[in-house]
Amino acid sequence: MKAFRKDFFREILKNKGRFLSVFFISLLGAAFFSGIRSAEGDMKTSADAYYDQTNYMDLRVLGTLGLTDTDMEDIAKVKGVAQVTGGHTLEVLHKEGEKEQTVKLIALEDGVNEPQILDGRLPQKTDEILVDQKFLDGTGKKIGDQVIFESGTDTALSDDLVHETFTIVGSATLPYYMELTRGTGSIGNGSIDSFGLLLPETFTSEIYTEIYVQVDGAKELESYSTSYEKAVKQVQNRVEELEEEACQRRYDTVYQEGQDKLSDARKQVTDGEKELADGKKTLEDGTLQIEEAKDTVAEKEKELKENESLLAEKETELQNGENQLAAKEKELTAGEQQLQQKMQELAAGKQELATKQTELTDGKVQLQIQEEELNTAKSQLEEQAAKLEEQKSQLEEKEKELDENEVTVTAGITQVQEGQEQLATGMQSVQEEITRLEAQKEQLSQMEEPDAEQLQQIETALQELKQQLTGLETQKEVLSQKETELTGNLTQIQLGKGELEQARTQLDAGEAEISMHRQELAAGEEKIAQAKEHLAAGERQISQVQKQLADGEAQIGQAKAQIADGKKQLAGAKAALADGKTQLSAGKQQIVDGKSALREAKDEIDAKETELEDGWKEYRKESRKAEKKLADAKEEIADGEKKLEDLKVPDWYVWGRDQVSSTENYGQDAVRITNIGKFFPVIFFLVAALVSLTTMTRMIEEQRQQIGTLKALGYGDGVIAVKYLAYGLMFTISGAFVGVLLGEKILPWVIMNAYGMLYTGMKEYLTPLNWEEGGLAILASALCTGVATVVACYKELAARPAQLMRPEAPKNGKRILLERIPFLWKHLNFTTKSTIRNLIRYKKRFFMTVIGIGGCMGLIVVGFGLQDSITAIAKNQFVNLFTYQASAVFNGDATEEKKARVQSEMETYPGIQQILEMYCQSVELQSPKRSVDAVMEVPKDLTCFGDFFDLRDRISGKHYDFPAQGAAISEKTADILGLKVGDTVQMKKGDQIVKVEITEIVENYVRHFIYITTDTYQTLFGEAAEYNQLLLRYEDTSDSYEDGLGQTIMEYPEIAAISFTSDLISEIDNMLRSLNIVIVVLIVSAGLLAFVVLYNLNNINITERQRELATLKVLGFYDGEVASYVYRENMVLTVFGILAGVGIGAFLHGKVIRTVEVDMMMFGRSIFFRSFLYSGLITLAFALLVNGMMYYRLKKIDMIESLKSVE
Amino acid sequence: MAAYVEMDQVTKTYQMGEVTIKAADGISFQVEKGEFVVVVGPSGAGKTTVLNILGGMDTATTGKVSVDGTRVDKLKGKKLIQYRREDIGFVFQFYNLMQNLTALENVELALQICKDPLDAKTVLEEVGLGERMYNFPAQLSGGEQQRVAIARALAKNPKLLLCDEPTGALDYVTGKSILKLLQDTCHKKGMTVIVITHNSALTPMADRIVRIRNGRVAEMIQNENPTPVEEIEW
Repeated sequence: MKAFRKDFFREILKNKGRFLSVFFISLLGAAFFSGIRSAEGDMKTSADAYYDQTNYMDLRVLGTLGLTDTDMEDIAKVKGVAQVTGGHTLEVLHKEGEKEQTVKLIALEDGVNEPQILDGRLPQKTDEILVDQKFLDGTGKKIGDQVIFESGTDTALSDDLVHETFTIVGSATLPYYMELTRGTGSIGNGSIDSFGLLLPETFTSEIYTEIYVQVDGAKELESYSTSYEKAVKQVQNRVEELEEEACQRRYDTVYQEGQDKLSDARKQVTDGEKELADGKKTLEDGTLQIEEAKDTVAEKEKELKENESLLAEKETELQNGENQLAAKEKELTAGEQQLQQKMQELAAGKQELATKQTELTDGKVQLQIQEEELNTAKSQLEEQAAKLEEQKSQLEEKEKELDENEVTVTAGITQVQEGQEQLATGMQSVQEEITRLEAQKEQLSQMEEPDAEQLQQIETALQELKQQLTGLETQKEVLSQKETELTGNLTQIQLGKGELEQARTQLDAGEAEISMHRQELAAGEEKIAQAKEHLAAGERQISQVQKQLADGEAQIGQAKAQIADGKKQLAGAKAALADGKTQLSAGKQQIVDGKSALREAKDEIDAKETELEDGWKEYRKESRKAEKKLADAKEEIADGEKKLEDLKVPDWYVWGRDQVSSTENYGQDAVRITNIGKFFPVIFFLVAALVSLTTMTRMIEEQRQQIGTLKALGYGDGVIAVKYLAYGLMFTISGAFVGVLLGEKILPWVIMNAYGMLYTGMKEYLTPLNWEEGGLAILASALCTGVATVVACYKELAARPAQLMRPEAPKNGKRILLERIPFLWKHLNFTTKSTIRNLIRYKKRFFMTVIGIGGCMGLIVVGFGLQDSITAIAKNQFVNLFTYQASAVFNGDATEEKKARVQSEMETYPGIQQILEMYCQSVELQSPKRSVDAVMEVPKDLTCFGDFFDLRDRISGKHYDFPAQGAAISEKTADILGLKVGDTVQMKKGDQIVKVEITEIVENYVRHFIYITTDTYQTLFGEAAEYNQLLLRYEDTSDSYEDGLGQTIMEYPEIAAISFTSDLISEIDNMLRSLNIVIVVLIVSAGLLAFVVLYNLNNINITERQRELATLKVLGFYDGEVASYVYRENMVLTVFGILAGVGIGAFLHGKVIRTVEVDMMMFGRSIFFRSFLYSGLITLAFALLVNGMMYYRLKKIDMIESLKSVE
Repeated sequence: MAAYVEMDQVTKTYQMGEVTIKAADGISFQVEKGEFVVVVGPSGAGKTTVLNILGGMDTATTGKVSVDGTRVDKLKGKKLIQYRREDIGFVFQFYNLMQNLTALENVELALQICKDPLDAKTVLEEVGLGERMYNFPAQLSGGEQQRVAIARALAKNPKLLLCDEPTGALDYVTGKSILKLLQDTCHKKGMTVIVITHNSALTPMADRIVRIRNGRVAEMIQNENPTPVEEIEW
């Protein structure tokens, strides 16, 4: 057995490719199978751990009239109840700016529904609040901020709560709010946005809103399990048994309280009526008193008026006297002024006179001085004249003398000149003689024999002559001296004459001056004579004036006396007048006093009168009010009486966790994962099993000879079979085991993480190993491989050893149909022919491969298809079906006119194409089967409704008109409710429940909708629709445009909120991204599987063909040619696999999509072509990758070894 | 003048795990063009190694191999494949035919990759399979299959026809007729044929006999007067 075992292990080592492919296929199959299938359990376990940790209630009891301590005590006594806690809740509004949030305030109770603090701490004082994270997100508040709540009903908030303002101390999650929705409420827009947790003392009411019950032993059970449900159900039934008695008790209490209140009210009404009557009486008395006072005042007033007119007369008289006096006084003043003027004139006259006299005296003195000066000047003049005469005669004498001298000198000169002439002539003749003599002398000297004598003679003669000439020369000099002397004399004479002439001119000037002076003197004498006459005339005038002045002075004296008299009279008159005035003012004072007294009296009367008037007014007002109040009170009493009569015995609701939407939906989501797990892993697993089967079969076929040898050696069939069985199982089981470990740890974690985006609160994800699923996976893997091995072995073991030792007769080559068409066949090359024949020859392998590849491809298609379906949601819903871009919500208190104004103004906003007014309301749609929360849409204007919504049939694409009768409801809604066209749906709005027929079912993907006309609404609910929304259509959906639009529209106080379709799209896309993760897991896993499957199939193929391939190589086929021989077959198989995958994928997708969907949404039903393309390309890529890897294996095929012998 | 085929001090060692096997230990011999050569030796002497090296299916560890002036020992990769493709025809003990191609197609398969092939049908007729060329290998007897294999090798018109125990899987009569076919091919067409066999009885039919023992050439005999196959008995 040792050698046998050795062989076994060597077998493993020899073929690692086979080993690994079986191992990984088992691993993937088991991992996926157990992982996906464990996800539900893990999700539930994780949730249960969370529920246990927070002491999540098992039951919740609600009473329509509230619950009391007695109720609680009773419930506590029920068998199986571990703990009972009374709880308070209150729905309030939080308004900040335009934002309104409905907040559900919940009292924190110990030991039940404990919050998990995300941030901050628990409230410790009554004015502290722990809030929902959604509240912080929605309002933008932070821990430490103050929040103010408002009541959403008529009741004041202070009636229910100790405070209205709270400080946020932290944020938390609650076990029954794992979802992101917070349920529906009765105030605000009908849905609760977030919760807030307060200390129980903050609530004033002693009546509990609800009672939380924890069931004995339920905590130990797993929340979603049947045992849990059973345990809780028992207790639930027992609690429900209490209902009747408790409700009757509560009814009695409330009825009695009502009665007491009514009788109190009746008493109050009677009291009020009495008070009113008393008040009236007091007022009437007051009116009478005032009338009397008014009469007295009137009498007094008359008296005073008479006195006043008398005084007026006196005053006029006095005024006249005063006027006269003033005139007199004026006259007197004028006289005095005249007198003053006259006196001034007189003084001026006197002064003038004095000046004149002085002037006259001065004139006389001057005149005398002038006369004397004149005489002196006369005598001086005479003297000068005499002197002048003397100088004249002297001058004439000198003239005479000079003339005589002149004549003498002139004669002398003439003589001299004659002498000079004579001399000149003498000299000339002498000169000539000299010349002649000299010439002779010359001649002589020139003769040979000068005649000395003659010469002598001549010489002597010359001598003589020269002497004569010198004498003459001297004479000439004397003469010229004489001439110079004479000429000098003459010049002197002429000088003297010039002097004389000058003196004569001076004399003439002196004479002229004297004659002028004489004239002047004569004029001065005449002036003096005139002045003397003037002086005499002045003296005469002065005496005349002196006389006039004396007269004036006398007149002034008289006038002064008169004025003094006038003044005296005037003073007398003034004194009399002053007396009169004094009397008059006294009279006036008396009248003023009288008047003011009278006014005071009147004022007093007026005040009293006003008071009384006010009294009356108040009385009237108050009495009206009081009467109204009384009437109201009476009506109220009547109402109260009626209400009390109508008061019904309350109902109890005893609900388990399955009635909590969050808990229930989470469970459903978990189940949904299992639904995926129903199809997906099974397919996955099947492919894996199929491939390992092929592998094992191939292995046994390969070892045919060995089996034969073993058999020949005498080994029993069992032992041989065990070898292969052990071989196969070892890898399958070890692969599956590792797969289970990995799959159950990784996949549920990935899935829970994905769901963590939708369900908050859970702190940890538990992924315990689920041996049930794991065991199943391992067992199934082992079974598949085991059966396959045994079947394959059986065939071989049945044969005789000798048969086995021989090579298996190769399967005959067969002619195929295609060969009958020689035209085509002849054009194929031999490897292609071989490929085609091969494909047809090995049909088993063909189908195995095609199914294997097709399965993987199908899984990838489903993955992409799911993504298509999910991504289609937002686009289909908000682009194709809802064709508007934004919706604005009105405040509840906005009036119709204001709404119309907002609409008309927004219509002119740039870019806005159309606006539609809508009434949107949350309603609950019910059918016998189920109920769903939906939105009721009532458009105001049906004509343009089609521009905002597209109501159509999903499959046929047929567009519907708005249903004139009945209602259109969304497809998924109808599906859930199990209703079809023609059925009646029950619609619950607040307390009203109506029934409406379904006339259309329309395509819709997100949420649930019901569409009715205004008229239908009116008919159904008996009131007109109050439009509360504006839907806007525009082209530009850029952020900047929408920001601008949002800001503009939010400035209207009537607009509470605006939401943009583009935001909704991204919101939904975000939410669904969690499912994308699951899809990626699917695609990646399927891709991996595809890879392993292809690798394995190729591996088998090559091993099987080794000999053929070696032959080709020996024949000299290049590596590429050899590879293409193999690849061609692979590619054909891959293509067939892909085609099969399209079919498998489309089928699976249809199945899976319905199980994955959530109630709120309908996923797209179609797979895009793109997804098929991607899936095909991925599969093809894996095929090519595997081919690439196989190339090296092909290259490595050893020709010699392969061809050595037949194995 | 150098020989048509020459092996000079060819050695070949295989590394089988920890054991080194010396399959050829300095083999040298020459073959002239157109000769019918029989390489003979006991099992494991290194005959097949010689053939594999000559045929380009294996490479010598050391030594010189030349065929018609081509240094086969220097060829590598694609060149080596090309050498097999164009210059060598192989005949194996177990025929190695493509099972899903007919006799004709098996021959044509070889032809489609070589440069200067003979006509497939003619060759098949020459090997005596004119009637059965449309049959699949499974429909033929061993001898017939071997004839197809020979036809496939010949149709390539190779320089060298290498046959590894061509009669090993055949009965006496069939074996003889195959050997006859080979000898005739050699003598009539001037094809150089090298046959490997462990059967010394076949040596007389050869023009040249190469005896190999323990990886060495024990002797090389030139036979001037080869005996026709018909006259040989074993």
